[in-house]
Order: sequence, then structure tokens, then C-alpha cells
Amino acid sequence: MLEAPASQTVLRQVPYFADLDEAGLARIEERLVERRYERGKVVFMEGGSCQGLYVVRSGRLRIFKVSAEGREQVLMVAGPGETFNEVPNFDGGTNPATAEALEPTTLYLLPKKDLLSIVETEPVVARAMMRVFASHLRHLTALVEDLSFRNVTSRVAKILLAQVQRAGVDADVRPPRLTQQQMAAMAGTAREVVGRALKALEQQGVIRVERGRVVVVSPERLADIV
Amino acid sequence: MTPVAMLSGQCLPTIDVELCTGCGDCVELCHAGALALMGGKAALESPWDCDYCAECEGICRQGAILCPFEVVVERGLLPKS
Repeated sequence: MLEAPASQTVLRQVPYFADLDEAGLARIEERLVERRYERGKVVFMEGGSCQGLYVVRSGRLRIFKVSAEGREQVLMVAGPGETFNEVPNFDGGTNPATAEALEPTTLYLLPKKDLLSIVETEPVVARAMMRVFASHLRHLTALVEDLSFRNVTSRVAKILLAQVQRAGVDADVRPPRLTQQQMAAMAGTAREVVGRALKALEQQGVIRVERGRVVVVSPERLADIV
Repeated sequence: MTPVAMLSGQCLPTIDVELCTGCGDCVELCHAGALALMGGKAALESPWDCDYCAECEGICRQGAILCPFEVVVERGLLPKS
């Protein structure tokens, strides 16, 4: 039995294309443009025109924004099977960030006109994209609700409670590991604010912060804070 | 999955050398003196001095330093759903 081409193996990892059969994947594959970048090479600049959707075949890139003062903030690091630059394909805007290769990287570019054509001709892809975008929208709606109605300490408490409740339900689930930066992204705040929130929860005796561990001392009181 | 570094069973910050630009902000910030620039990149020169305050993670603009925390319940307790 022939192995699926490497490109189809990568495409299968992309949620938008996961429900396609082999024929459908082949139709996507024939529209892909393969591009290679050495470490440090810029794939596209923030504010530039959108070329299409990118899929990482191999390597890693950082996606970052630069402030007016020249300070950089990394938004994500994309690895094999991940996609980036979806949004400007659909809203007609410019690239929202800059993408730069962290190591020798091979990308598949699905040009914008081909992506839009595929969305029209492959309902499976259209539904999958809507599902993913809806999930993002739901997440952002929940974040807006949290930002509007909960203070930071309450939002951090909610994150911690969700983590331990998930682990409590399934004994096979390893205790989750979160960085304060990840908690900050989930809570819609800055990392140092999360640090202060954890200290506040510790002072209340609800949690105990140890080296590499946050121990929930009182789940009931944590739930009350949420 | 968030990577984890250990020394004698103790958690340590992980530093992604591909993301590190060698700016030195973390080295300057580290009150324990555990970090240094080695070969132009940040590294844990004295890991035994690190107290895992996780401030280095916050100062790094590149997201190169990670200090993950395991979230667990005190032994013997089970949170209600």
C-alpha cells in the first residue's frame, strides 16, 4: 500500500481538512505552493497584503507584532501541522502580524483565491472552518463575559478550578501544567497581574504556590471566589 | 505540551534557544543570579540557585523562557463538579 504523500499527511492534521476524503485532500494538495525559508527569513510582514493561508510542513516560525517603540511581542510559535494567517483571507484586511522562520522551515501556501474557491466548492471544508471559527468566537465571548463581570483574581480562580475539576473527573489525565503567561492569555490579562492574583489567592489560604506547583488547598472556597 | 526541566527532582525554567535573542533582560532581572548569557544565549548557569520565582518568564519578550506550574488539589481532597 502506498503511503500518503507527505503533504496529505500534514493536511490531515489541519482541522479544516480533517474530514476530507483522499480525493478531497488531493484537490487541496494540487493547489498548494511549497515554500522554504532559512532561519531568520521573514515569510510576511505585519500590514502587508495577505497571500493566503499557510500550513507548516516542517520547522517552526514565530508570529509576532512590533510596537511603535520597536518592542516585539510573540503571539504564537507555529509548528508542523499548524496553520496561520487565516483571518485576512476572509475579511480583506492586511496581515495582522509578522511571521519569521526560527529554523529551516517548509511551508505550504494555499493562495487566497484558491482558499476562497475551496470554501465554495468543498462544503466539508466550509463547515469545518465555520466550526473552528465558531469555537474561537465562543471562547472570545466567554472571555468578554469574564472581563466584564469578573475581576482578575476571580478569572484566575476559574482557570485553576477548571484545571483541577478536569483532572478530578478523569484519573488518567495528568495534572495540567500552565505557565503564568498561559494563564494570563486565558484570563485576558498581563502575566504580572496573574502573579499578583496568585499571591492574593495564597494570602486567602485558598491555594499554596510551591516550586513548579499550584496546590489548591480549598476547592470549595476557590469555587466561591469564581 | 509545555516542556519541563528538572534538577534533582526540582522544576527549573526551560529556555528555548531558538527563540532567545540574547538580549540579557532575564539575566539582569534574576535576583538569584542563576541566569547568564552563554554563547550569546540565556542559560541557567547556576540552576541550584534558582528559586523558580518565574519572573524571567515575564520579562522575556520572545516567550523563550517557560516556568510551568502543575495545578493539583491538596492530597485527599476532590473538588465537586
